Amino acid sequence: MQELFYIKLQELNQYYIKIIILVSAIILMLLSWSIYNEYEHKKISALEHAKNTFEKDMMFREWVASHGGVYVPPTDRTPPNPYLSHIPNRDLITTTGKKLTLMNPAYTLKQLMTEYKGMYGAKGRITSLNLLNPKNKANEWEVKALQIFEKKKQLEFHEFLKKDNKEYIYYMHALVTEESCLKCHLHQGYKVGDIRGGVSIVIPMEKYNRDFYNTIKDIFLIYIVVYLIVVFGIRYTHKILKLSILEQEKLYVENQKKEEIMLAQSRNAAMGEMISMIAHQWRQPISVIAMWANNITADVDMETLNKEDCKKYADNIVAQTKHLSQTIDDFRNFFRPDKSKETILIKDVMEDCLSVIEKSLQNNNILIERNYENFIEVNIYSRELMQVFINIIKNAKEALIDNKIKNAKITIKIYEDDYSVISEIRDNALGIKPEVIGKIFDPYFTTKGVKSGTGLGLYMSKTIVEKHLNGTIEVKNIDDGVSFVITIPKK
Amino acid sequence: MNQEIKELKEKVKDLHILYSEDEEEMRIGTELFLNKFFTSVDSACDGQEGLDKFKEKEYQVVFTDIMMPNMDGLKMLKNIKEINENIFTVTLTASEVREDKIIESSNLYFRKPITYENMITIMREIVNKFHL
Repeated sequence: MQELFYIKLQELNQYYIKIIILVSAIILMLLSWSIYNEYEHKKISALEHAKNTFEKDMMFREWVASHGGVYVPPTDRTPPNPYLSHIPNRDLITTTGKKLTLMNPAYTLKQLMTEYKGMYGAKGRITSLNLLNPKNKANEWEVKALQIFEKKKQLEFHEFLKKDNKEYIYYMHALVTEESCLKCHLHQGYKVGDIRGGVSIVIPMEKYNRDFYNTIKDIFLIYIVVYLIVVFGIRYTHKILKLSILEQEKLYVENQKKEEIMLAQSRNAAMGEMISMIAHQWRQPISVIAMWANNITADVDMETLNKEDCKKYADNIVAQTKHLSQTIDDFRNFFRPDKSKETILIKDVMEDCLSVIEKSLQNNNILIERNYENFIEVNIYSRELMQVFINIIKNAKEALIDNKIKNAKITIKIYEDDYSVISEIRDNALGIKPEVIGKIFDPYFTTKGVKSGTGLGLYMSKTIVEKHLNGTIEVKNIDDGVSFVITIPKK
Repeated sequence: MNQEIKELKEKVKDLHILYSEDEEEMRIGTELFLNKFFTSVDSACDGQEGLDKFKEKEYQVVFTDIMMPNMDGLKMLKNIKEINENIFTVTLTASEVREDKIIESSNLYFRKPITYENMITIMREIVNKFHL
């Protein structure tokens, strides 16, 4: 896998994991918040219920008190209240002989509370620290609540407690001594406004807990569904993005392959070009060798052979073989695999290039003018730069020949500025048509016809300069020709 | 063989030869060879010089290269034929100029490298041409 895309994919995966964690955290937080809310709601509901029960009891008591008590037939269930014995009209007999006994508010309330359970099993009790009826003796928790009322002057207290593994809400509301209380409690020293007791209400939490657990179940279900939808959404997005990165990589690799193929094609074209140059350069020395051999043969045939001449001919032949050998070296240098960079003066690269191409320029009466001010070596793939130079000079040569230019000239300037080495190659072949000059670096674009041009030379030159040499290549028309400027950074 | 060569030499030696070739080594080698057959061989470095020399003196045979600076061999031959239609022209070339173009402007043409056999063929053709 390409490194660039591997990094992209890693980043995407990291984002994905972070987002999943973040979303999970948010959903978990919301879930906790919901559960907490439900829990609080359960407690508040229970408390409200307790308060309502108390209010209802108080209203009932108020109602009884407002009548100064009620008379009921005395039964086992409702015996005359012994704590009211000091009241003169506690027991009555109606004119028809029916017996009635007085129930004061506390008595009625007590009976109500003992005999009737409220909703969800709510049970009330009236109690005090200073009792009239010992049956009403406060239990441990009630004592604690009553003590809190006395100490802190507050009227309500509640707690959620467990008893026999069941949860209950214990609620207690203080009772403030009223006028009506004194009927029975005056002898205990009660005064109006005193807090002398309270009503405790105990409600089992079972129903609330059941409701709470049911709600929690629903909430869990909803959150799990939402979480799964979100996670699947993110996963889906992640998958799409991953596929898009892989697709990008595929395109990139394809593009790279295409470029490699083009590079190979242009190399092949350059090699073909070189072979024909070599062939041309070889033909001359071979011809000369053949001619010296012919001289020997002629001397033999004419019987004019002498040792000195023979030696001269042989020397001349050897001199030509040196020339042939030199040409092969140039050739091999050009096609040497160029995998490593070398530190070299660009003017030397240009000279290497000219050593293979100059001959064919001279044959076509093309003058080469050199103008070098190049002192800094750069670290580059020199063979590739040489290929670029050859492409441009070859194009100039062909344009000069095609346009039958007199005084054909190629001017090569290599100079430096602060950051780069600039190579300028100018010709006087009348320039490139304005409608074409924008396309000359396009792949497979050629003006030379199918047979002589691949349309890859300048495309590859641009690719080489920009991608392998980190430089730029520009073209512009000048007065009488074209100028190519190749800028290679010094570092 | 030897006898034939000597006879050829005897037949062609009085012809005036002009030879154009821009490559110095080739020119020296070929000139030396031509001198073994012809008494009078003049050489030129390019087409222009060849044409100039041709205008000054009467030649019967012109040997020329094609790819030369200033004026190429084909143009020189064209000019020469305009002056003297009867001239015998031999083109010795390394270039890949189209064959028909060469055949049009020269009586004989050989691609370099030129073999000894080629040279002898040329001599024979010259003998035929001038009925020597």
